[in-house]
Amino acid sequence: MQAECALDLADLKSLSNSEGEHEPLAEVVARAKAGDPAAFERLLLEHEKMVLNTAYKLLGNLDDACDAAQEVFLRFHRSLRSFDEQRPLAPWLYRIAVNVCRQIGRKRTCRSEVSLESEMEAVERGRATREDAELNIERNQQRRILAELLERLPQREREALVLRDIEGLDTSKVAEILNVKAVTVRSSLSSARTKLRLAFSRRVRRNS
Amino acid sequence: MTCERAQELITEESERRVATEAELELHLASCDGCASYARELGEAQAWLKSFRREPIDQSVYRELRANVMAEVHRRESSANIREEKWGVLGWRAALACLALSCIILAWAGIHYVRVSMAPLVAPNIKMPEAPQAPDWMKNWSPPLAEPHPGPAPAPWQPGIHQTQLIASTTPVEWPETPLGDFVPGDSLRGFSPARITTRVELATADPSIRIIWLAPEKQ
Repeated sequence: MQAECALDLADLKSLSNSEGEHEPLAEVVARAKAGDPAAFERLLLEHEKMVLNTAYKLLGNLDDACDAAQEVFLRFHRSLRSFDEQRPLAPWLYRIAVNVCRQIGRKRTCRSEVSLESEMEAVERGRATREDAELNIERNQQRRILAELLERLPQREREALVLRDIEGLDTSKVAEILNVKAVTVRSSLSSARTKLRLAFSRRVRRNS
Repeated sequence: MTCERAQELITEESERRVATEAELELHLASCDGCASYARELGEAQAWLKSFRREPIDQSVYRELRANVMAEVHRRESSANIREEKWGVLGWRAALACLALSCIILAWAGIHYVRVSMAPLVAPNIKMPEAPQAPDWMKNWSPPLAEPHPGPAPAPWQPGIHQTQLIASTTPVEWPETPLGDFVPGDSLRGFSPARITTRVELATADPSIRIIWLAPEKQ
């Protein structure tokens, strides 16, 4: 999992420009800082999946996740001038995403089952893959279980689990993003993983 | 290794060290419960990982990108408009502000000087005329006090506030007829002039002030 994430972050150290040449991320950030909208759009293009998926896991709702992702990129644009292009961009975006999701989560009072259903439909409507109907149903069920599981977790545990076990960041990075000590992340993770294992084993037992 | 410790290590993989790894493997080989725990957690994590990138429709990303870029362009154009406006008016506005500040400061300075340097003018108040002294007072003066018989007063020292008895009288007979009901001062109202018998003069630190005390006779 960590290897995959490391690969992703390595990919993000350089971006392909329109001519297909690789340009270092720092240069793209520098151009974006200078006010080049095309450079900013390239950063957006490269990081939108990461940001939207993280927001989706943290909020469990695609509409909220889209709003959160939009806000993340607008905040990123606003504070771009203060960003040091020599530093990695992904942790910074994760941090903004976590903060924005916390704010949205606080505003939102409850998440209804109906909205979850509509989320599944929205995701399904646009699926690029050609899975058959049975697989879609199975996948939907799993997604619902995951959404319910994540929703039941306390905020800190949910954030730690999403960033560490789903996004694959290492513990020290997660601690930095969440602005807590590594030991706190480990404790949150341990608790979240135990709950995850129990939920997963219940599901397996029910299916069998 | 206990099952509890083994499960702790399985749950928190970052705590594992090479030394404990071998011990854990040994424990897992001999404990079905912990092996099952490890397998379940591994499966759960693999399942969780499968959701890392949701197959979200590309149209969602396109919409997100379009919204963000539209907002960015809107902000930049409004910032440019502000910049252009300031570019044209900026210097003029700044100069106008500076000139206005100078005018206000100058006005305040002039006002201050006028107020602080203006000569004090006595208010035009019509004072009531002083009562005319009776005829007998024009040629009469109270008896002068005789120098005090004690030691001569020390010379005045500047800055030291003191009073010194410089003269006093023994009981003095006041003229009875010319005074009549005249009472020299409110503080003596109620006393008959004939009863004022002692006069004491005190010099104060201010040479222009001298206290004259007229003591009534003991009843």
